[in-house]
Amino acid sequence: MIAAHGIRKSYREGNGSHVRVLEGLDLEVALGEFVAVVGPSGCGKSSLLHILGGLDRDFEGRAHVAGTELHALDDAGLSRLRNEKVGFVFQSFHLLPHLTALENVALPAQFSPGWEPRVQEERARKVLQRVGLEGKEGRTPARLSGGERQRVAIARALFAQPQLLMCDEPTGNLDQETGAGIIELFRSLHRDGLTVLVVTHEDQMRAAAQRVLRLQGGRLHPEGQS
Amino acid sequence: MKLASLVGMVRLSLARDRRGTLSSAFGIAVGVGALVFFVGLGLGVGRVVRERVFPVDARLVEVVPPRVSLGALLGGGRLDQETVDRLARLPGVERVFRKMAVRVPAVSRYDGDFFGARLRMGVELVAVGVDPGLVEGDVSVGAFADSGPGQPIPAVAAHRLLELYNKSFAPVRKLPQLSARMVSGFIFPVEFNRSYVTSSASGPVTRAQVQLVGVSDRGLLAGVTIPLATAVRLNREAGVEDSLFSGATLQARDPSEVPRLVAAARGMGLEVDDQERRMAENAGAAVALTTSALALLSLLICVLAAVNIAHALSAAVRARARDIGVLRAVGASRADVRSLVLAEAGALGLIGGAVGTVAAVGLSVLVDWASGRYLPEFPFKPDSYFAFPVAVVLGGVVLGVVAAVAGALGPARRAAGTDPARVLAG
Repeated sequence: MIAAHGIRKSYREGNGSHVRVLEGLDLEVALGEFVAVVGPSGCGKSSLLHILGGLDRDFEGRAHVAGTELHALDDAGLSRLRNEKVGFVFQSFHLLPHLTALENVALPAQFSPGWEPRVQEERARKVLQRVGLEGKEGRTPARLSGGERQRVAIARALFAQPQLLMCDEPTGNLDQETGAGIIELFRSLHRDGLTVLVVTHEDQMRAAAQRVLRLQGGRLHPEGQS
Repeated sequence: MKLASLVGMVRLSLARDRRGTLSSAFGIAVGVGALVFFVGLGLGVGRVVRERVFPVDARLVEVVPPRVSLGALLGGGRLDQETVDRLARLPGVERVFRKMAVRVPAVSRYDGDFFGARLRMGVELVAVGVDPGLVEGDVSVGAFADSGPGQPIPAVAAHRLLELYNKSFAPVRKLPQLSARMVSGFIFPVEFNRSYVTSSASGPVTRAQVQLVGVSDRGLLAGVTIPLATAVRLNREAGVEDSLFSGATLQARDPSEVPRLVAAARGMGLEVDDQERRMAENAGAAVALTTSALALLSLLICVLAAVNIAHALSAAVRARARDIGVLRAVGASRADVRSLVLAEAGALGLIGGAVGTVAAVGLSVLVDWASGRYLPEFPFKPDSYFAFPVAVVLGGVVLGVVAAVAGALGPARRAAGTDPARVLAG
């Protein structure tokens, strides 16, 4: 599902110097695998996720996601990849505040042809039901709890039936109990065959993953090795 | 991105910030409304000037003998039948209508019932004879032909004379308002070889009757237009010149032929009486100039509205950077984001343009109503001061959209350039 080799990424700082966060990183994730990436803050976990999800094109190295070489895609191609094959879940949920839960979930359909309004709504209701939010379709994010907001975000990521779910600290803004519910949801989705790549600090999330990788010195190491 | 999706997202976005939407659309509405109002006013007033105050037929050329001429000595200047025939042979001339002034003075003394009112007055009467073809299309009673001595002389009055009577003379003298249909058939007495203003009258006074047979834009403004044969007869009976014409109206096949005909007539030693045309052009130019100045001011308002939209959208793009990042994360391309911002601006322009145009038309109805209700009658007072062709109405709406979209180009480019990885981090 993911094959990344020699990934390098650096940022320019205010004084003009470059800070390299990824130093020739290699990663392979098989179809249907549940992989957790851990590491200290600022080590480049989110950068890795943005690169592999096609949000950040400014990197060196070769990355294949869902059978596609990312550098070979233009902006429209990357947008299609994000729309159809990759679902994102963020720590801060990133729901659009003026849309209802149902409208937030159906957002990917607005950028893809072939989604009739009736089909959109049916699909959005179905995924909201899948994440346990049946009956809350008409609520805006302001009228949902933190855990419910994250479930809406997960439903949005699942809307287009992606092959890969990328999660950036999905329980970082939730209390332990709510976070546990979300982790259980990821487990369930994984059992249904979804490939999950999650960046996390949570021990529970580590425990849920099949494989845990530590990002250190710009490279990935299996948990326990350095 | 599908059109339906674009429309749906724009609708949601505008609904999200109703106050900002109203503020931005208001600026466009003011600019477009002012423009449509002033252009409509200019076109309306221009139409009144063109059709009622100076009803100039673009195909007609008025040829007159020169005021100062050495005449036949230099082979030109006389407007006799031979000259008329030469004029008729000029390329581009469709018809020639001869004109001969009645060269004896005349007055009309009226004392009797005048459409239900008592009228006692005397006026100096000016009459000109014309070839019937010039006015016969406006004749509604009897025939426009010389009826011979002892019979009423058929005459046509000018629409503008009737207008001046209705709006200036009749109200002061408490006389009835008259329409073209009412005056057609009216008979009044006339005395030839009598004058209130000149002592040149000579010979015996002869009495006749004049019957109005129609009202025409081609009629003499301050007098009556009678058949040419009648004018020739009256001049002959009075022993004055009856073979030279006082003018000729050339009817061109096409308005584009007019400049060539003017030059040819001047080349024949004749003059062209274009005073009426010049006055029409000057009045039209004054209206057009005023309209242009006001339209320019309105356009400036539109430009300011576009700048306002640019600022508002720039602020919105900055404030919604994270939302734009979310759209990018779920599959929006740069082009989709750009389209969204431009469509949002287009919708603002459409709303503002439509509201402004409707407001302008509504205000014009109010002005017309107020004019009819509160302004006193005056000559050529129109029922409406405005004209709103479809092009002006649609143009107003289109201008609103164009101004708003133009203002949104910069913000749309910045929105499309939003780095989703940066705005979604953390």
